[in-house]
Amino acid sequence: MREALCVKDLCKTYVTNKRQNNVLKNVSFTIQQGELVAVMGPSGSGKSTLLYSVSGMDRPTAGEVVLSGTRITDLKEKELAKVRLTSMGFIFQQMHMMKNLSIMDNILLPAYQADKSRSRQEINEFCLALMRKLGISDVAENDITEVSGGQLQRACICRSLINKPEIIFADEPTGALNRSASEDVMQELNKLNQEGTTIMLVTHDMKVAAKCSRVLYIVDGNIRGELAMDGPDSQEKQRERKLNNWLIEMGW
Amino acid sequence: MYFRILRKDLKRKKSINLILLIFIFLSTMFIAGSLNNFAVILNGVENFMNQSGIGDFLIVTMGGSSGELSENDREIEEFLKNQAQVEDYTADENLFFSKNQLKPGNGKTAVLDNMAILNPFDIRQQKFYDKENREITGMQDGMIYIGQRLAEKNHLNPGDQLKIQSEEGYEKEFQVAGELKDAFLGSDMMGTQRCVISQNDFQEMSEESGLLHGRLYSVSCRDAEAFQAEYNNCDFSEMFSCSRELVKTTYVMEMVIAAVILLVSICLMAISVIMLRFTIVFTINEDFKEIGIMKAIGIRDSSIRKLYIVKYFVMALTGALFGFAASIPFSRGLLMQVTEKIVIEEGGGSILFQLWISVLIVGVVVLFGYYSTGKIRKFSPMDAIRNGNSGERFRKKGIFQMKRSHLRATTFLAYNDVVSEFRKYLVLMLTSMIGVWLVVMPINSINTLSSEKIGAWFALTECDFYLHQEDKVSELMAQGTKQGWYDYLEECRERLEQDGIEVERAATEVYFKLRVRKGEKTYKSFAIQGFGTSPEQYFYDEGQPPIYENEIAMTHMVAKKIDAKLGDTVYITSGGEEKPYLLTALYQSMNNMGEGIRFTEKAELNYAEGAGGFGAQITLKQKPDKKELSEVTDRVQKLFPEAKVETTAEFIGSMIGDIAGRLEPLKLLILAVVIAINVLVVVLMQKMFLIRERGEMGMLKSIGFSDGALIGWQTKRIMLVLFAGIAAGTLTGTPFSELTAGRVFQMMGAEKIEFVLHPLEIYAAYPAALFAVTVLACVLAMRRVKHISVQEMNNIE
Repeated sequence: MREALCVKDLCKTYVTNKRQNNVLKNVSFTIQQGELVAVMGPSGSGKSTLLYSVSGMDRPTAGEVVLSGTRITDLKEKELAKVRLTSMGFIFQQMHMMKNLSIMDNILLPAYQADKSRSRQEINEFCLALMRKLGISDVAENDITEVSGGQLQRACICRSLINKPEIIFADEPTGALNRSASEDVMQELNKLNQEGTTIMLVTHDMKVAAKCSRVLYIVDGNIRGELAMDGPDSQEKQRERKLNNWLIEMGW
Repeated sequence: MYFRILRKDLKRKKSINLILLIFIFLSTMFIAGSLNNFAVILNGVENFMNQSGIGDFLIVTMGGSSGELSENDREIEEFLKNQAQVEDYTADENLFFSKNQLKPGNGKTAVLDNMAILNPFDIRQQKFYDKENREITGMQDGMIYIGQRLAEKNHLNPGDQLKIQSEEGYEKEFQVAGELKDAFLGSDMMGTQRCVISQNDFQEMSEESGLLHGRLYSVSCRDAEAFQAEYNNCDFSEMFSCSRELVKTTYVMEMVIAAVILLVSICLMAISVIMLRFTIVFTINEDFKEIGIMKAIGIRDSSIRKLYIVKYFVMALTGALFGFAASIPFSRGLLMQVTEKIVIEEGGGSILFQLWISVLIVGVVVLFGYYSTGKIRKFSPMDAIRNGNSGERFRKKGIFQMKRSHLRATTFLAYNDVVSEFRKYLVLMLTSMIGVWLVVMPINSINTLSSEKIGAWFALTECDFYLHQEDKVSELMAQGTKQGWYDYLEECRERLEQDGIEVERAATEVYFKLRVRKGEKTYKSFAIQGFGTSPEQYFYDEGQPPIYENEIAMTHMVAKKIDAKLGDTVYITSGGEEKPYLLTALYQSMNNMGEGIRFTEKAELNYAEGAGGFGAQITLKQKPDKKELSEVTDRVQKLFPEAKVETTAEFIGSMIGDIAGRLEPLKLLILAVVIAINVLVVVLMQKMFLIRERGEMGMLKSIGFSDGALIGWQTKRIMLVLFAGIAAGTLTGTPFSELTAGRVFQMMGAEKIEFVLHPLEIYAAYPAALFAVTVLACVLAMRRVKHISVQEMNNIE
């Protein structure tokens, strides 16, 4: 299996009021292609900072991040933007979208910006197919204020997939959704993963993490442990129990 | 606690507060400065007349000697004493000197178009002012203040020497004390210039010099029009006479410049008001989230409003204070263009006025803040946190669909933003449109005034150059025969052809001041007769060119004065004899403020009554281009060293002053001001957008948009708005010129002026310059995009 993401000795330090705050301390881990990895940890442990640093959204202070064979820590801002546009998708906790565009246009935006090889018609058809798959094709023309939170988050997932990325990063993708919408979104992410998309997500939610193939536990900027979640998805309760026990062990 | 919150707020939201502060500053500077100019300029010429003490009617006569009145002057005095409409009058003695009697200290031949008047500085007719607007209240013997045109044309500066001498051998040397601001004879359109000297020097010259004597009457009337009508019925011999209203209209050039400044001021005020409103609304929207939080934690509405009103008051006060200070030099800088010839009221009054305007702006900002924060009472804490939006929307914001578009993503975003939120960009669009008007109007005026067409508007025939020999014209006028003029033209033709310059046509025009009557209505008008010209060489607006001896054409203005229509018979008095004439055509002329009667060549008039001549108008056989013409005029100047050789535009320029030349620097100043305002508006708007849209920019960065793409998006948006504004301004610029500058031309006597347009200049060069500089400023301002991080997306609304 090929490495989708390889992180070595990653450090991130913020300086506030002349005080140094080491949020990430020599973090190293690897994600193989086709994995669905959850990052868990208490508030302020550095989960989101880790996700932003490995995805190139933020520059780490030190360390190395290799994404699909490219050392993104060495890339210039323009090259990094291209990687974000073509090689990865990002799903945020808040459903950030352009307010003057419809749902479909928001999804199409990165594809129109990036793809010169596909025709506009191809892109449009692919977009509609994605929307159908995620069950939001009937709100394609709607304004972003005219749909529910769950529909909006699914639109965000569509947007993250429109350029057929190799990896998807998700920061609390269900954090702003109710239970039913959360389950729908996780179901879609699972389906995507089963189709071969690598996913790394940050979550607080044990139910979400239990659906992943591996869980990393981070405390004070260090990865304290990791748990491989083997066993079929149908044994949901068993997986949750296993994760729960492990988290208690970790001090959750 | 309020002040602690306020201090924190001012510190934390530095950028947006700074932008509001800058706009309050600029608005105060523009509005206070411009309104002051408005008030000063609007009555500028009238005030100058009042300040100088100009009477309702002025008469200049020639004749008499020191202490002795001529017969004509006695008759005028008698008339003035007995006229019922005369309230009071003054009479002052004056001396006349000509070009040959003036000897500048630099040894060069003097340049003087007409006879000049010499007066003591303390005549009763009016007060005089120096260049610094100080009234001349005393003069040393041996010093002389000279008219501005006389100083300019002879390159005379304070401290230079000049002599006035007479044929009788008298000579008096003077030192130039400075330039004179003279309400009666100081405008560019007044042919006669004036110099003032001390009372002792005047007395000496009056008695000993042998210079021509004359009188200057200034009449205060009960009813100026009725008096003028009575005066026109008399046949006094005069050098010239005119009403105070006509003197005022000779300041048309100042009025053109004043009109341009007024328009600039009005546009600046409009831009300021629009920008101020936009900025305040924007700032208050930025504050809504915090207002919501304060509401949520239970602070009362009135307390929240108090807090924000204190904030706006502090900012308005600071901005207005600096704006007031800056408005004083700003206002003076603009007024300097108008005060070259006239004295404009200055001092405490206008500063107080500007101060009041500044206070008013503070009030308006606070009131606006009060009104805008009033809305928070209606909102729940959550609405306020959502920046005043309830979340409900009844209409789709985005009008176009990207999936149906072939535009690039950033171009589509830009286009969609502008169409969806048009009001947000209206400020920039209006600013650009008004800016283009401001640039196009003076350019059209300058191009029109410097074009070849101008001759026709001054009712002159086309010719290659004017050969003006003042002495010869005076001699012909004294001779007083028609044949004398023909002989003179033949003489000119022969002299030119002897030198190898082939002449197609040598013509001239002689002018008179004659009384014209229809029924009971009379008017004393400028009248003209051409020799060597044919009727069809002139332009007429209505009717047929006069052909026969008893046919005439007249300007619309004279026809209105006596209520004459085409086909009417009017009566004109020449040489004491009143003859009937048939009015066959109407024309427009900017000569003599729209006055004019044109006789055919066949008409017989009393040529001894001629008031002057335009000199020989020469048309060459070779049809020269500009370069060839310049070579020919150089040769002619050598052949006639005593004459003035001028092209049509130069000739008109010497009659009315160089309007185009004086507008030229103003044009560049306005272009610079317009570009500066546009750049400022764009940079500040972009700064606001960078604050407001940092969330969206962060989000676009997160999905892979590069800094370049973001700059492209924002710049294309500004380009679209600028393009629309500039295009609208360019298309409406010429009608705007006709509405504004056209009115000024109307005041000069032209009923309808077709502007001479230089399409490359007004449709391409200037709009392109405005567009390019503003877009460049936008790109530079947008470089800040690099500092926006993906995390900013959490600030998205």
